[in-house]
Amino acid sequence: MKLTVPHMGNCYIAFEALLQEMGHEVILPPTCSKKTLSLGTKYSPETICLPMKINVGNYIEAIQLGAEGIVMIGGSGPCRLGYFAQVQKEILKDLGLDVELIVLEPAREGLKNLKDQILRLAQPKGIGSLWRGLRLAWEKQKAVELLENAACYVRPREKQLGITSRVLQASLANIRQANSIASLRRICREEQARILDLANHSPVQPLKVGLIGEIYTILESFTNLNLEERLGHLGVQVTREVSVLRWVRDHIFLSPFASYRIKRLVKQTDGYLNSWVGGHGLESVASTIQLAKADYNGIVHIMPFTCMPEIIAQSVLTKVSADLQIPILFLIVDEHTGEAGYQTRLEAFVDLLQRKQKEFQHEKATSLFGC
Amino acid sequence: MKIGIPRALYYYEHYPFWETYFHKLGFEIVLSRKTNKEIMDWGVFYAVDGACLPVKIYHGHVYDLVQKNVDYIFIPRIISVVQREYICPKFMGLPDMICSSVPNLPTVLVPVIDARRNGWKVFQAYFALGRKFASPAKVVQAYYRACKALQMKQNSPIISVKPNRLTLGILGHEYLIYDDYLTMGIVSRLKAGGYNLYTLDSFDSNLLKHFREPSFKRMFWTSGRKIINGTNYLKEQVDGFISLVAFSCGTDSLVCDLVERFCQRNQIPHLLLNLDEHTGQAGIFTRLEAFLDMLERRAVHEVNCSSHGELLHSL
Repeated sequence: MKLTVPHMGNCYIAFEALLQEMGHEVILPPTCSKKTLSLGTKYSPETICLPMKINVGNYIEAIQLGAEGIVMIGGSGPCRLGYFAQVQKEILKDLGLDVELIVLEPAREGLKNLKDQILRLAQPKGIGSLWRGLRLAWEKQKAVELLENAACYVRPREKQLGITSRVLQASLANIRQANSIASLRRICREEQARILDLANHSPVQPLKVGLIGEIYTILESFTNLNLEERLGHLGVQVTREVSVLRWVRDHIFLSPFASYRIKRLVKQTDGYLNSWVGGHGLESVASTIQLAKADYNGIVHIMPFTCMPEIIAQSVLTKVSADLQIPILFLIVDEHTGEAGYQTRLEAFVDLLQRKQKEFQHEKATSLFGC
Repeated sequence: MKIGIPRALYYYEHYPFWETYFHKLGFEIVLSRKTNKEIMDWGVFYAVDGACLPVKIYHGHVYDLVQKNVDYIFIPRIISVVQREYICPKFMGLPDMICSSVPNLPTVLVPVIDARRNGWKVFQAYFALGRKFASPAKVVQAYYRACKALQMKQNSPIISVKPNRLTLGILGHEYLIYDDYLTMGIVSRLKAGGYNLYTLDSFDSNLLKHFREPSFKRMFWTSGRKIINGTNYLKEQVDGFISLVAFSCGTDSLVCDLVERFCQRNQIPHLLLNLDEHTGQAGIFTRLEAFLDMLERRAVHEVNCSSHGELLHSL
């Protein structure tokens, strides 16, 4: 069966490796574009968040390319992600598109269901292929995130404007080609060195900004209008506080210890948010406070319009921002793709950070000389 | 001691419980005023832009209580009221949202209501809350009485159905349906108009559990489950459904889409009214009247075969 997966940033590399290793033909949806968005917006519920709309667009485009099955994850609340697959199934049914949706629900929604779906995916090559596939996918995801982080480090220091992103694209293509763990590790090392080599080494440290918020909008550069790249070109070193590896580690491998993790995160929020609220809401608040203590210059919080967990985070973060004196830029993204307003806001924010840093240094200098 | 309870969100479902409980503990209960323009303005001012209307209104109600000089404000963190289900993420973070945006708050009482595993944790939360003010025996008694009071409310009788009048199903959260200001009095107007109305709280909550649409995945939001199952249960008893939805309500964005598809497949008329801070009534009422006219005409003219074009000639 020809399978497809919805896009989420560069995750398709790992998903593709996993499914190919299990003996499936993979048809990836075309890279997210305005066409994807308008297809998704047309057929999705009106006020649902952007990730689901883009999912639907991805599905339709992949089906046009010949996909027969879709692999999607489920969930058990309270974030809406858990019910996406159900509604998407209905949407595709009403559109008359005949595809099979393979939904991987978490174990607490029924172990038997999960087992059936996994066995069906592993049918062509047996359950052993699942293990091999998972290992390769994990390594590939690790490599992808390593390179992306390297690019975030290099961008504000790059020798030639825009070269990092071009090299990163080529590197990711190489990672995608790799078909064994040994060759993957070698390629990853080489590519990382290639990216790091693009940096100028000047003593002036760029501004440091943490990127927090909803995972899909952080990872998918189409929805955030290349936020990392834009900030990088404005001379800001971006640290991503959310990653797929971390999500998988926390929500799948360490899921039995979830209550312990939540307790630790609640402690980190210093009483600003005292409960888990679904999605990445609690993580957003906790990491903002950590970053503020780690002397970051500012925070960019990004979320899709009507995202439930991040609305709570946003509400709490306005207080955090005032109390801890850390500037936070709240970006809410939806179907709009107007770049000018977005760019202006980013520039204004970076200006503010620069001025704040200068004032701070000035104050430090004056107090040093006893003026 | 005066305790303030905001007249919004879960007030509409749990008030009998809270009233009895705090009364037995010896509190004087102060309610915020009914929602009005001023409260809505405060709410819109203090809440974040992205929040849904009921949550914004809640901010306004809390601020109203702040001005009434109460000693405590009761803002429970309601995670779950039914096993394995949630209410909505915003309910889980509500006390923190309030504490970080509404100024001059008195002491806030925040019990964590979490019935995901079992009801024992709910009792523990109320017990711990009550122990600050009264002896253990008194708290247990108050809790018991409060549970009884809630049961009395939940088993309120179903409205009698008048024959030759239209029957409508009103779908939506109780905190929206029963807030006359938010819904611009739609429900009370329909009642005054003599229509038979079914709301989702007119049934025993256990009844709705059995009317699950079998092809759907388990719904993990309590209100969403009620709406989906209620639609399925009422499909043969009503002439049409009216959904009242707050703009940018997270759960309803998916639930209403499913309801709409369900109604289309079963050929049941369905009117979706999206409510937000706008207070222009004319547009909403015109839509409502048009919908009711359509239902009445449908009862007279509709035959089982296609009526396309037929209606015009027969008139």
